[in-house]
Amino acid sequence: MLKIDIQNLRKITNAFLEEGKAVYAPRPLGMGDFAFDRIENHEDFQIEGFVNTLLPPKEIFFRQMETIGRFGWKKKGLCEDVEPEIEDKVLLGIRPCDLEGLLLIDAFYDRVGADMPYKRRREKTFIIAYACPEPADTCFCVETDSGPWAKRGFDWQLHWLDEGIYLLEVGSEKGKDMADRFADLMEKAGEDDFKLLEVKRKETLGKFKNRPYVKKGIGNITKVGGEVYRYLGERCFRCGGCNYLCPTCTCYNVADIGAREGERVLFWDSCQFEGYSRLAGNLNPRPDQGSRLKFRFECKLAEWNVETYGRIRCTGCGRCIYTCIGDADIDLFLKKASET
Amino acid sequence: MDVLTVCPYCGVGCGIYLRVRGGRVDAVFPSLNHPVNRGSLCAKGWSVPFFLNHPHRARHPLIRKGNRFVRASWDEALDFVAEKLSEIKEKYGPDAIGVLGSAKCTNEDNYLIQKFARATIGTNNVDHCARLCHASTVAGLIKAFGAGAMTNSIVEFPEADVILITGSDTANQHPVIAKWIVRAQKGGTKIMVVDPRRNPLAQIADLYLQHRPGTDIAWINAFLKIIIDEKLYDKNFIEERTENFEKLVDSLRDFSLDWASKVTGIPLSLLREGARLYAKADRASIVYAMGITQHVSGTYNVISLANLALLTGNVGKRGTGVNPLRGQNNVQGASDLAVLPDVLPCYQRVDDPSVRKRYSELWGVEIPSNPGLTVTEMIHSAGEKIRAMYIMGENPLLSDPDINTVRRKMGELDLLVVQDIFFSETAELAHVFLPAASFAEKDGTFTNTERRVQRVRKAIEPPGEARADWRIIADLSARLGYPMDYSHPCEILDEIQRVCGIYSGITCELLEETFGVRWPYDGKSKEGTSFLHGEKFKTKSGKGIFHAVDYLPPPEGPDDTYPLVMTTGRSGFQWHTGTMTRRTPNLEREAPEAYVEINPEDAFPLGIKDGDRVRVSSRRGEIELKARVTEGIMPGVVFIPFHYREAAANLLTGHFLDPISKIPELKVTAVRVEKC
Ligand code: SF4
Ligand code: SF4
Ligand code: SF4
Repeated sequence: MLKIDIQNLRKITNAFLEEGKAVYAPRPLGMGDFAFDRIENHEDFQIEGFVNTLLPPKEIFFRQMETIGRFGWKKKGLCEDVEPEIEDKVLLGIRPCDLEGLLLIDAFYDRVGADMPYKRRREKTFIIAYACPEPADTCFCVETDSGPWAKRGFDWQLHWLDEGIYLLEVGSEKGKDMADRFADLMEKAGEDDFKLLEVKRKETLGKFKNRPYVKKGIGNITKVGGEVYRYLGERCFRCGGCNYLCPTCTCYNVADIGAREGERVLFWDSCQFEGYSRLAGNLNPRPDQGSRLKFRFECKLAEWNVETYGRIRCTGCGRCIYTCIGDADIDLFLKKASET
Repeated sequence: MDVLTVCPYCGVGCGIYLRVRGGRVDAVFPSLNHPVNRGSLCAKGWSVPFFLNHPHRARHPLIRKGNRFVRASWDEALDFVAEKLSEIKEKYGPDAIGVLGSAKCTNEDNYLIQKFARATIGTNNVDHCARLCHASTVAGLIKAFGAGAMTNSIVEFPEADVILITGSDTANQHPVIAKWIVRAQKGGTKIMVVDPRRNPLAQIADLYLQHRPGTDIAWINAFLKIIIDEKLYDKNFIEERTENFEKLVDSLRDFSLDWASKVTGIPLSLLREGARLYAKADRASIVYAMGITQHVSGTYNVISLANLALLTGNVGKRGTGVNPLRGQNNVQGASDLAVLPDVLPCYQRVDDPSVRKRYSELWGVEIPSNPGLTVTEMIHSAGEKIRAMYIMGENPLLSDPDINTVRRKMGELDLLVVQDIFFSETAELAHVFLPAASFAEKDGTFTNTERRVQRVRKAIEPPGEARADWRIIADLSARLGYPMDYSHPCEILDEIQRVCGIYSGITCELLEETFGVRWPYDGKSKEGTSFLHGEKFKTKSGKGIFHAVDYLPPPEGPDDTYPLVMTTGRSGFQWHTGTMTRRTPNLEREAPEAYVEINPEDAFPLGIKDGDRVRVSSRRGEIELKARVTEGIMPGVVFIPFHYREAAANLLTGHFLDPISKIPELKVTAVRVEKC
């Protein structure tokens, strides 16, 4: 392991920017809000001092809304594709839950083989993860095996030791080459640092809200009764937020906007909408909100996920808990499931 | 780049960020720390970028030539409008011109448009769609409390012991407020819903009372009667802080609870249970919306609710109050800033000479003294008294009652100018169309339902040649000889806070440091005033005033030809006339077509099954749409959302007005339903 401080991290970031790399990192928006977005200056990002950004960094690759084509019949007729921009990217400060989310989306698209803008944006991304020292009330990555520090998928991972001081863990060949390149901005970590890291990790783990029902609820998922889904279904007001903010949700829809001329747009969809599963003739295999919630919870938690992806597809980021405008979130579901 | 601004849909006023890439907004997300929405948005808020980027956005000014519209330059269009307006003013006088502001536009746009009507043109004929939603709230709450706004704040809901929700489908219409209510319930607050429709909150309520549309005063008076008879009222509060209690008691002396139960359809036992639940709570909050206001008895409905709160001492402390949920994002602001025919900014009566004198001095012109016409009155005297209308950001052709008449009347105008972000149904009748910038393309402020004045920030450039509303008005005003020299909306806000007491101290600089400030701002607490009437009411005497209110049956009861009662409302996935939401694919997919909700008891004898096409007719028109057979609506009542031009519910509604606030009766219309 290596050790680095924030000034040197900014210097490295500056070097990336000067090389023309697109650097994405958390940026303060004022009044306590943060967003993961492209930065133009190495002073613009902030890694610590907040839990996570509201939008998961998946939005950088899988856009909430993007034009994939243009059409028009006015003159000669127009029909053209719009290609996603290809950049050499650095993702700086991604949290372990969100990194695990990206890996799950990668696996999903690999499996279905779709030619998505996502895939092209994902190529050539250097990932610097940030192990979380301080969870929020809604975080439960410890229970879903996806945090508070990452075990895979990063090139570098920063571990918080003290304000502005991090241990730097190398996670790949690419990461090693990059660390060699900037060796003069880092130092080797010593015994004391490792000891401190252990202390800090213990402290972090102690800060998580105790959720013994998570594993139990997941284990019970096939047994959950209709009354639980009915209860939750009555309390979902269909905002779509639980899907939109989920770092592992992949569903999208495509629509042509405009009549004689316009754009073909690809955008986030939500399985909580009635129209999402409606078929021709107004038939709906998931006719009520309870069945739509069941679909979502199973899509995240059911056993087949482990068979297909090697793990469940909830990374415990907690976003769907605080964004829920009703009272139908995954935490409540797991509690109820564990009591089944 | 992410720009903090305010959701343009409803009056909740959620704080949102617009993500700008390549000059376009291609994502939206909620603020995590905004006190109102704390990381949440409803489905509409989540889909804001769609209408912004829509290829049908209006890009150029248009002038009608015969049956066609031809593209014009701004100079041509504005010169033309100025010339026509001057001609009409010359010939018929300024009161022949009517102006509509918009609850979707900023405070600054609205302040300017009413100033334009009053100072530039010289008429008080200025109004906006608040007439159709909460005119009765303003009238009623001013009578009872002296201020026509939500008394308490959204974040206080969890502090209430009981929340009484009536005439509001909160989960669909103010979804993020429903979030607070549901969380309150989780924390032990009891939820009571009184509504003809078993809406989502009714479904999970601790107590649900289903009443016939238009019988609000009957159930509220029953509550009052029970509370008085059982001595559950707050004696101290009544003595110290109210007036006219005896009058109320007298008026209810002979009130029959059995009669109330029969009229409303609510069993007597439930009326008692409801009244006790509300009265016994330490802190009880009332939440209401259009189900209370859109009646010929709208003002009295509101006053009745105020009676209920005064009787139990549920005003002037946290977690209580009478809380109208305002519909449009900025209907509060447009009302505060006097896009209303009878008041000047801050609800100061235009027929008060001292008020007029002050404004005449401030604006440098004589303010006309006679109160102007309301929206509905303007439209119905179009082609007669009213020769020209200037409409900013409204679509009365779909939103107003009795559309057939509206269309005919507006067709008779000598000049109709429509200024909007899309070429709307109303624009099709215009002589001149002016393309406006949307909320994402201009600066300014909105005031949400809890009086929170929030900064709206420009994130992108308007499409084509579209311009900000305030700028269009200022340019036009200059051509009419009354220059309005502002270089930025913050300068307009600065003028507002100087002329209008409740906005005093609220400047752009102040708003920069907060997620908005709730008026009135006392200069101390950064977020402004959480609840009103803490020490004193805003009435002349400083007391809350009881009013004796008699039940008035709806103007058009069911009869043999039209045996059912139609009530109108909205879906959670469409917004009003659909100008924005019907262009948004996932919202349109969720609520693609008009429907009528009908109880199986009514549907069965008519041979109507779920999904059948039916014809609904009233004395004024008929529409065809799909039947949704559901127990959620009470027998004898049908419900139709009013968004759809292909089956516009407002073809059926009548022209019956509340005599005080002039709000039309949109909730009770006698109709007949038949299978097509
Ligand atoms: S299901 Fe919820 S907690 Fe799990 S990863 Fe998705 S948003 Fe996060
Ligand atoms: S966040 Fe909650 S209310 Fe919104 S769709 Fe998901 S479960 Fe339903
Ligand atoms: S609740 Fe209202 S303000 Fe909030 S996101 Fe929905 S429409 Fe917008």
